[in-house]
Amino acid sequence: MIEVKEIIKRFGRKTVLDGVSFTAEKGQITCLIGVNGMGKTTIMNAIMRLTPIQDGEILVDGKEVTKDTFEKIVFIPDATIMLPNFTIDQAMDFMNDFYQNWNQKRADEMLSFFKLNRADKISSLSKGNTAKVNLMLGLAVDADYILMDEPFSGIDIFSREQIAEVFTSHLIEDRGVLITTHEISDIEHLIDKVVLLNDGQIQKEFMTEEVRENEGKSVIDVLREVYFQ
Amino acid sequence: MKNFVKLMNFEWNRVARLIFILMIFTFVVQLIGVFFETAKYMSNVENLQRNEGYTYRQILDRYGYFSFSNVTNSLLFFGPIFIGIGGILFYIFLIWYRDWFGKNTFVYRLLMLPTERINIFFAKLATIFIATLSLVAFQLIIMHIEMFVMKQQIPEELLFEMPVTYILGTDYFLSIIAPSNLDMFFILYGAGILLVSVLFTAILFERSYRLKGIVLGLGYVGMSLILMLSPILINEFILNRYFYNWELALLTIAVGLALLFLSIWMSKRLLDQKIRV
Amino acid sequence: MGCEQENMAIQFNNRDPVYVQVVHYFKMRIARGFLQSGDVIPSRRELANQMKINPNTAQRAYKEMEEEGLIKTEKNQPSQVTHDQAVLAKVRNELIDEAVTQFVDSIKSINVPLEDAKKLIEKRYGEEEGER
Repeated sequence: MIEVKEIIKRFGRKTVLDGVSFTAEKGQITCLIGVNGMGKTTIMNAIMRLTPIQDGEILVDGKEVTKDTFEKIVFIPDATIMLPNFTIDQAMDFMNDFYQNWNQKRADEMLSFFKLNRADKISSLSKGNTAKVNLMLGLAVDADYILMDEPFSGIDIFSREQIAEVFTSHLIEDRGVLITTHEISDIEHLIDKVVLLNDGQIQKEFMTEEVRENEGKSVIDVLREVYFQ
Repeated sequence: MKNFVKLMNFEWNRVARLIFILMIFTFVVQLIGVFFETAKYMSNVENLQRNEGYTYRQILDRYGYFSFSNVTNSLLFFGPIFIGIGGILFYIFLIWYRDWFGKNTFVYRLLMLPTERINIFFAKLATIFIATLSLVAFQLIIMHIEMFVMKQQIPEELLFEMPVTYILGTDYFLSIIAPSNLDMFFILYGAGILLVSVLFTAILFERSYRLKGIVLGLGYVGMSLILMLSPILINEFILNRYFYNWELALLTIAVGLALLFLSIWMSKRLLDQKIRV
Repeated sequence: MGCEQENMAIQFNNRDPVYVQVVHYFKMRIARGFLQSGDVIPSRRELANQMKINPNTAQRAYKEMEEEGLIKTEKNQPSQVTHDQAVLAKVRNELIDEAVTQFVDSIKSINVPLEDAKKLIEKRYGEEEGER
């Protein structure tokens, strides 16, 4: 379980996260939704210790995040984080070099599913294919938790469909996934849990099926209530 | 440790091409320098021979021997060395900033590797060190070639031959780049490593606190400078030259080592807790 | 509508629980005869992939169907549609009942007399048969 507890993050005098707490469980897809601005990405960066927080704590399986945690939790940002002059092959070698949990079989499987060419340079790829390589490099690590920042933003519809399909496969199964998005419609049926972030605070945390079952509301209905009441 | 070696190898591969280009550039320009200087000397010699009927004896009285110093004092010789030094200084900054800027922010990947983040610092430091040593070693090798070329251009009677080691010992500038005794080597390259560590720490201050970090970084560099000079200053102005020179030297080395550890400790703290992507 | 034998794509609506919609989908297939007693159904992983839903949801749907007796799963065996004809008949009745209730509700809400409705149904039913 990823536990975010009362974290406070300020940029200068601006408070971006004001006592944010939520959990993301293993075996579930948790979606962090925020209509406006920062916050979501900052939370992911904070979990991965890529930005300092002013207060609060973040635990993964009950422990603070250290270098060993990075074998268990993988972050896929919305930009490529590999050297542009690397080929896909070289990028995989790099990952294999540093991650004990790198699973080449999975990587190969995803390469063929996404129809990627391993000799291609990363800088030469289309936006959609770049996102797929990003996803492949993250998911091929046998990590328990995957963080994904806006995996659907700015890419073509077919790439979106392919990526959504990954969420229904064994590549995601049994792992804990935390995903941010501002376009919920792509994945409304895929997610287990929603965490609503607004103005640096958590407005609501709910299980999608429960809300549908008990209140007959879609995720968007709930969003509408929270943001426009 | 294994991860440090992998990271260093990785960093080295990123800069190797640049170093290689610098080497070729240096070699080509310095060779041109050899040809230019020898041709200049020989045209003077031939002029005197043809127009004035000078003998070698008389020419030597007028112009002196041609030695490799004629080459090393040429802009075409030390120019490329300065460019190399400039390149290394520039790369001290680039080696960090290239990971943050550009479309692909590689620093995410680096910071998320399942290894101690200070290894990134050490890998980059080692890369700068190795790059410098490679350039120096290359310079020493090509000096032999350049000397050989020089000998082909100048008649034996006009040539004052000296071995490369002699040139390194006597040329002030070259003796800093390639110290001829081991103590000097350790002191100079130790000072180099210290300087790069301090600069790295300043860069990490900037990367952690951004605008405020520039002030902190500059402050850190300033403090380091004062700290390094403090034994000398204290001895001079407060203690009235109480210490012998060798004691002062030891003291300075001790302060330098302390500063090195402080920089590493500070960098580790910044990388682990304060760094921003 | 009649020939989606292997195509599992369904349009989900956003307001009903996805697992309920999946269960309903299976009931429809049973009622239509595409799925018959003893037929093997996909594993929950396959189902999640084919329907593009979360594996947890597929799991939930299967659990629900097992509880209703619609399918049964022996240890380490793929799930099968039940042999219990009573359950299958019940599914059919349930769906018919549901459809009729819905129809009657909407007809009533616009005050259509029963006689008119009957005529309309007979007329339409004939047309549909003719088309087939």
